[in-house]
Amino acid sequence: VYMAGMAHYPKLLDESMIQAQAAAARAARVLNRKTLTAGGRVAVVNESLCTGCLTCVRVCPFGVPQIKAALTGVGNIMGAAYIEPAICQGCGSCAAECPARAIHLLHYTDAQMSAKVSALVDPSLSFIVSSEIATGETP
Amino acid sequence: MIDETRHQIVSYCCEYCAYAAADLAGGLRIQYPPEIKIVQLPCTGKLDVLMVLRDLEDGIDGVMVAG
Repeated sequence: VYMAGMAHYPKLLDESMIQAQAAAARAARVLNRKTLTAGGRVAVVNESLCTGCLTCVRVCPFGVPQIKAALTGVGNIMGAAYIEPAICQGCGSCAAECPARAIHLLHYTDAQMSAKVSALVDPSLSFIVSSEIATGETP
Repeated sequence: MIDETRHQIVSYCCEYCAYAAADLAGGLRIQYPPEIKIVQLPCTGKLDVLMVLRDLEDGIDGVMVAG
């Protein structure tokens, strides 16, 4: 989103014009590019698990996911969800809501999240409980 | 024996609000209990019920969701 002039705050006309030219130049910089570099934090669909239930399509606040007929979903059904990486904002709502767990948010996968939590908690405290139960001995 | 006074709490914080607030609090040198472990999420919408249940199963005493 590029803003200029009164969209910011009240200002003089010549100031608004200079700002508008600068905003237009910034927008042109993006539009002139042949390819766009997307961030790494995007949701990816595992098509072989997708049932095409439209949950991701409905839940996405940016309207990014779509069901593509060319893709093959679970059990060779026609159509599977597709998330365009260039417009995905990486909020992870679809990954959390997907009932088939077919969507993963890169950099925040299940394995990475559980690794983060287990690295953070003090193993000498709460985690001793589960090891005590497992081994049946008291430290 | 487990010290009852020291609990393990995992706090899931949204990157844009709660995590930013925690970051600011850190910058201002505001103290918070060491039992709280902050995990960053891109959005609270990313929070999966399974993640919370798995934490509780693993022996975490509480889960806080902020954002």
